[in-house]
Amino acid sequence: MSRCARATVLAGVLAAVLPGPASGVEELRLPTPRDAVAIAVGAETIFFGPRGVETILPGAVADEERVEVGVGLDGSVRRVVVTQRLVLSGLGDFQFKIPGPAMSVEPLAESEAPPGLRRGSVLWQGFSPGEKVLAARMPLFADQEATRLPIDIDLAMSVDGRPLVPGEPVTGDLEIALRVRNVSPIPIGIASAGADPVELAPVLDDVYRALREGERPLPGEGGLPRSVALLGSPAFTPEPLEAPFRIRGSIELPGGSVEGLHAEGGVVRGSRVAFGALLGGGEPLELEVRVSGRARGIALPELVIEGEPAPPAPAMLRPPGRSWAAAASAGTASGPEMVEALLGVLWRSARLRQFDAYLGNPDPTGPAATAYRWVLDPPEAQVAPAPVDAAGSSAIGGLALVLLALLLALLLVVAWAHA
Amino acid sequence: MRTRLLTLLASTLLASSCGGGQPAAPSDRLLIVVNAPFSRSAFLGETIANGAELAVRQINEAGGVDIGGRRVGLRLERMDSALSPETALENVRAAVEEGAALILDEGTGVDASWAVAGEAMLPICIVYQGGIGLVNPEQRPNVFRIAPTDRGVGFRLAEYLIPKGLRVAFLHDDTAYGQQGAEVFAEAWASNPEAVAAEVTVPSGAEDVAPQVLEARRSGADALLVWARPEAIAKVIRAARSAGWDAPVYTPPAGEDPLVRQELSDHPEWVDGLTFAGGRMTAEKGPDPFLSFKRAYEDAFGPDLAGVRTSSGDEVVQPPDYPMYPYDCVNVFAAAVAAARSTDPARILDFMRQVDVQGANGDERGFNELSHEGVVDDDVYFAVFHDMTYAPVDDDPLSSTLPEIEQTR
Repeated sequence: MSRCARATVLAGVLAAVLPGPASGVEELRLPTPRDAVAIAVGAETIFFGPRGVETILPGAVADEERVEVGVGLDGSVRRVVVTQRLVLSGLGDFQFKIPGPAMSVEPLAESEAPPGLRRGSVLWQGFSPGEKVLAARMPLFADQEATRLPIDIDLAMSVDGRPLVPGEPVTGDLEIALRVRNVSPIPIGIASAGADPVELAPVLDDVYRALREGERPLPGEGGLPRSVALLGSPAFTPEPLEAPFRIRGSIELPGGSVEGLHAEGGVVRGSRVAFGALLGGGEPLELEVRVSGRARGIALPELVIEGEPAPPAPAMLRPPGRSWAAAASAGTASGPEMVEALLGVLWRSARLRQFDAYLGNPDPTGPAATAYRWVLDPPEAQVAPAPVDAAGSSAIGGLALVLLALLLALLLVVAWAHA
Repeated sequence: MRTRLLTLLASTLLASSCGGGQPAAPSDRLLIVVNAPFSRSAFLGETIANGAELAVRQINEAGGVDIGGRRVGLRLERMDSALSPETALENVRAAVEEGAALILDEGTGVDASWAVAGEAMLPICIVYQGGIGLVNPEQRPNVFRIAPTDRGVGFRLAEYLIPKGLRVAFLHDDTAYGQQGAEVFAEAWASNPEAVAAEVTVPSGAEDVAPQVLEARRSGADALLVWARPEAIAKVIRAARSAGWDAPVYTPPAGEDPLVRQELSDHPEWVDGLTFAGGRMTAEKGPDPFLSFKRAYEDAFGPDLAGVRTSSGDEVVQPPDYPMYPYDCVNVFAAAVAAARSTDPARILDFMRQVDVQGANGDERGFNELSHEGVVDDDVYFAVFHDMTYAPVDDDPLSSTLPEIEQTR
């Protein structure tokens, strides 16, 4: 589903406003992961409509996924493989689809039932005697996943201005430009309305404390209320809100050596450049890493990026004073700004759920965790047979020699046949 | 999904006349051939044919299958395989010549007949035999099965018996059914050789199997797992019990065949405790779908009498569990024809893997691109005989959730 289409969907899905008990006061329900999942329409729904999936589960389901993305020399998505492990609890039948769409599916050794496949959907069906492990590896359609993945990568690598290709150790001035971008934002209607700063301040302080402890604030849990009181009816304005991602990665320069290796946006450690950032959640949505140096006989760099959904940075909700309560008492906190800041943080936190379960947990409230990994995976066709340096002869020479040898052999055979 | 598919199937099967009158009988009829051992195993052949016949009647009475505005009906033809692979193959050749659209097959001879049918893009749906190699979506793309697989039965039996700490003597007959069982047994018990006391082949034609049973007893076995045709199962039980050996006996689905009870009707107490593995008759949603199917089946053909009585003199009725499978196969086929909107064999074959229907027991039945099995291994349950009728065991997680089905009248 395109992000534009998602925006259309989201235009009508806003935080619910509940009628308040007193005149002029309205309750605003705070966003939860369930709200975020509801607005992230899955492929199954696109293919089969809102009634496209019938799910039968004996109990809770825990979902663990690993998304491996192979990117080409320009950073474009070439390959996506998801490994999913579902642990069903409870006694009884199960039947559900993982919408994929998957190109194929193969069970892992630990899987206690085999998966099926129908038009890209992975089918699971059977009986759970109390607990059942279902695990499979699923290659997905790279072009479709390119628009669904939360991270986009741009990559350019050259030596003396010529693009690097696999299998060719090179010498010359090395330039690498890597841009890692969080592309998960979708428009969400954010309520703007007045609120009593003194009444709202404890909520913001609690959320701020959760963020500082690296936790995800969840309305209705950990002392956070499910709703807050607004003064008057809110107006909703669409804002692009992302699911923050924490990434860390490295560019390794194997073989040969690089003199004067220099990196912007990363740290040089020997022949390796390490980098990491929170993308979104109060931090910039993208990270740029630039690497330069004088390369001698280096092979194609190895790029690895690992990522995971992460709560927003505490700075997003830093109080203007010692605490939000203190600021509200001192009259230095604005009610409307507090509402906006709170909703911004809570929606971003809620949106993490979509990427916690990349393919999806059939149990919408079950635990889910997905680890993401991007690696450089250039096409085989780009592998050249003979090593050259950047300014030297090309592999075409080697190929020509092989062809010449074949031609000579053919001529000899013909000559022998006519002898 | 189920709702949508049911709607699709319903719209397929039910008449579409706006005035609500009786649907017109379709003039074109797709041929379904039942290739089953009517002469050698009459009960089995009849149950397969009757299950299919019920589905065909219901579909035709509802106006047939809608293929893009045109309606086609179904018709059934019985061919006797006599449990002979050669005869079964000849039947398939004849079916191809007659332009059949589907073969419902007991399973005998499919190793040869699938290729003949495959050349004509003719789907074969196996509804009894569970042999591992019979169904292979890659190598035999036109072969499907709705019946418990031997592999599922074997591994479920291992899962059930090994934790009991029993040392099992495995007896199998020398038919294809018994040989396939031996393959599955070897695989399922491979990790637990200490649980196997002996493996003994029982000649299917032998009148007396006492020597084989004695060999099993001398091996120190404290349970018998008999993977054989019904008559051989009955002979093994007779030999064991008449020798005073009361070891528990376990079997694959063949143990529920009424022939076993008929053969032992002079000693009904010998049947007590016989435990077999089979495909569950009821889904988790309850027994209603199966009971509804059972009523329709018995209204059409009368009850399948087991030919024995309980100790109180009641006639024992065999629940129509195996007729469910051909019934479901015909319905999946009809749904595939409707989804294909064509009678083109290649399109039907493709859609056989894309549709599902609510089966006679309430479960969803269908195939997919990776599996042409309509009964998942998890659906194998265990039932134990008492007084000539059987009920799900209570020491297996799945079986203990299943209701008992009335079997007397």
